[in-house]
Amino acid sequence: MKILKALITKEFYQILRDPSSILIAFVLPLMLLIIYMYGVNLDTVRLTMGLKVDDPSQQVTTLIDSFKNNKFVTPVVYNNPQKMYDDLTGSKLRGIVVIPNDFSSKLDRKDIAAIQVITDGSEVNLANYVQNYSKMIVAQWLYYTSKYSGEIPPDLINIDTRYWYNQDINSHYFILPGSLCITMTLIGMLLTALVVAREWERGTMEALLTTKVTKMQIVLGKYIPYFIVGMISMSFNVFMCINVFQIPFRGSLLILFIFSALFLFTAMGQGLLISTVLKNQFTASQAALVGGFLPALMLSGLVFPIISMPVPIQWLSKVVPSSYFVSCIQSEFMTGTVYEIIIPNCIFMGVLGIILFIVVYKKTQMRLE
Amino acid sequence: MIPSVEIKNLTKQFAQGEPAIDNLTLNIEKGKITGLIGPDGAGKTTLIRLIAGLLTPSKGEITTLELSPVQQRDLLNTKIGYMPQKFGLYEDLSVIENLNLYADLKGILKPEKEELFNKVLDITDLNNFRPRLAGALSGGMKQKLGLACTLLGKPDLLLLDEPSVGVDPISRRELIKMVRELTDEGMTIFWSTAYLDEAHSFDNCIVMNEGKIIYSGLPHNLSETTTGFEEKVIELMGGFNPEPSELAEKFELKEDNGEYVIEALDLAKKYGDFYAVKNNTFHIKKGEIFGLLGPNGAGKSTSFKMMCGLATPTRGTAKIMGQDILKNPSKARSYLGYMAQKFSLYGDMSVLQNLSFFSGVYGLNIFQRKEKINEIVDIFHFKKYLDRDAKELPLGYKQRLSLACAVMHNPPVLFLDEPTSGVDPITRREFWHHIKALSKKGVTVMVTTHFMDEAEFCDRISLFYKGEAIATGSPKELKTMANAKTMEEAFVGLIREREREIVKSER
Repeated sequence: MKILKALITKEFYQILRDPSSILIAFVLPLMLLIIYMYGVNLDTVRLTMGLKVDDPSQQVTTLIDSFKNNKFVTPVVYNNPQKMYDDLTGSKLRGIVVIPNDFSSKLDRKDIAAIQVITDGSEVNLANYVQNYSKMIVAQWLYYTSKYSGEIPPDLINIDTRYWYNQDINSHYFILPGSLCITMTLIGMLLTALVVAREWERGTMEALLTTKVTKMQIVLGKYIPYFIVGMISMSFNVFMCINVFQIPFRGSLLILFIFSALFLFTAMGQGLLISTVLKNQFTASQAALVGGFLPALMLSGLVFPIISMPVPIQWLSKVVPSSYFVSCIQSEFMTGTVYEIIIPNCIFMGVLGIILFIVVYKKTQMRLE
Repeated sequence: MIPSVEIKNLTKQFAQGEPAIDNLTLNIEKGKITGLIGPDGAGKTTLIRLIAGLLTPSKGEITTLELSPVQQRDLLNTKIGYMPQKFGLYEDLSVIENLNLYADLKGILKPEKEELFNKVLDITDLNNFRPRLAGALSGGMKQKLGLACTLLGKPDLLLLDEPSVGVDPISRRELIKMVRELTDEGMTIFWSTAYLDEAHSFDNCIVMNEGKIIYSGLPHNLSETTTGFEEKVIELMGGFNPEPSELAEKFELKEDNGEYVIEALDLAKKYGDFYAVKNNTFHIKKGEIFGLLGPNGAGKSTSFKMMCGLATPTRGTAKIMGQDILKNPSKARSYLGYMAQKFSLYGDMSVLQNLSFFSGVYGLNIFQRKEKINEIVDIFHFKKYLDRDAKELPLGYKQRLSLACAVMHNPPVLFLDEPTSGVDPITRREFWHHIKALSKKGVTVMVTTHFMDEAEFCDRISLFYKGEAIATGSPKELKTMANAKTMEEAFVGLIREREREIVKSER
């Protein structure tokens, strides 16, 4: 017990004196949160669109006004088509709306009038926005222009959409809590991937092995300190999310901490395993990044929904612990505690964590060969 | 005689190649200091690790302190103190934190702790450095702290693996004195070293080569004098028969100008409030071997780095072949061959790849490259290591490779920063054989070393202490100055004298 305490104290001194571990545990997560809060936006965006109006009639000016008054669109009116196309190619415009010269005359004749919308297909998402915004603006204009409103066929079906669990469809509400997963993976895996390798590289492991230390003490001496650091960092992140960034939290903090602890346990197992086996800080950090961090980011369902993945990749995501964590944390934040999700996911993380712990223990060498 | 360690027909075979320890039988006498010497790759470290139970024997038996290192390791660990080559210190922990950690790991109880710390800190003279981080200590102090940590459990057997690599003569003397006092209390010490003078002063001595013992007995039975002992040991290891240095013969000295090839003009380097080097001025003539000597942290390496443009001087400048290192850095550097203290080749590349890389960097054309590489492979006997990764080479070969890469472009000036640190006696001789021959050809050499016998080979020496050159002259002149017989006495004498002056002036 005393030996374990000494090892843990030592580890804490090292953590406190190594600016990079503070960086990984606190500064980096904060930066991530800020980037996700203010940098990443998967929702509606404001677009600059080119407008070319060849129809000089009275009604069309009101259509231009509807474009100008829309809060999602900044229209730029062009007279020179070539200039407009160049600006689209130069990414100054996201799309172009051309109103042909027979637009109002066709409408007046009750023919089908055409509007041309050109979008920049290299940015698929934005191209969709251009299309939808244009449709929406024109439809509204048609509805409110008394001259034509009588011509619109009535809707037979009224679709009334409600977004459960996220009424404002604000993507921050799920991305920010989800980013906790990245933070925890960083601490759990990257930080721990370095620490055992460091002891081997600096020759301190050799000295340790000729003292009274037991295998279990070496392993726990690594698990416990980084577990504590990870949980502190996690609390800090949760605090930032809920109190500073005002993300709604509907579940129970206790449950949140329980499954976070389980996830941290598995991530640390992965990190320590890498470190114990590779014994070299550089290769260990690379392995943690490629083998641990990237799958956690890509396959967890945080950035790309798991159901939209090909089936074999979906299976792969089943063995990535972060996918279990992400589904737990998103449901905890947005829905409240759903035991049907929490319990099986916790069981999986717990079992994986224990298996990894056993493997780390087995792989820890007490001799130099 | 009661042995502390009994070894019978011990063989240790690693995955590939020859056995590291080959059918070895040995007894280590209780209460004595036994020195272990031998060339690099002789199996010294492997032997020590086997005794400590860090490795398991492939064949044969070891009994350490009447225990089996294989089965009874937990018990054995409480009775031995083992100091690995890198001292096993946590560099980001302070002196006292390191001690506390190792005390706890060795199961020392709180009431004894304080008394024990006072004792080891007194012995090691580290009492004033308690809060200092281990990483910020000088080499000599680290070594002492490493020893202090090892001594905490009051071991019956102390295993030291080359503790004095890169440590200055003063610190080494203090270490030996410390350890001596320990044997008076009945401790057994097994000490691997590359310093033959050290080994000569021990009670027993074991010479190893290729996993076998080639001599075991009293060092004085080999020879009464240190020099004689050295000769004998080198002879035992296979001897060094100097043939004319091919390296020097093949060397083409191109440029030639001016009287002084290397000049340091009032060089100074300040880190914060602390002068690492101050008022350093010297002029080195063509073909001279100029030695920089001094305790760890005296400013030798800093001077080196400034002179080859790796560090910017706070004041002053240096000239190489008349080119100012600050104004014309790349021109000045093109005259240089530099061998850094730390192994600075590519460890993950093979010997051949390193050689061809460096020949390319130094701008040799494709035909010259091939020729030069073949030449070097011949001279340094790299043939059997060509495809081996550089990091896996025995230390002596690493150093040879570093030297080879430094001289590949026929530089008229060579900077060698502790080229022989940790290298075995035969390789050291070979090195100096090349260096002397190169200087005869007109190559100017600036070198640092902790080996006093090597200092004797220098034409002139500058003795550094606390960032200043306190004495400059030929080895003979320095000895006369200090009124000493050997270089080591001169070194210690001149520094002690300076210390007294400093103390006086502070009063």
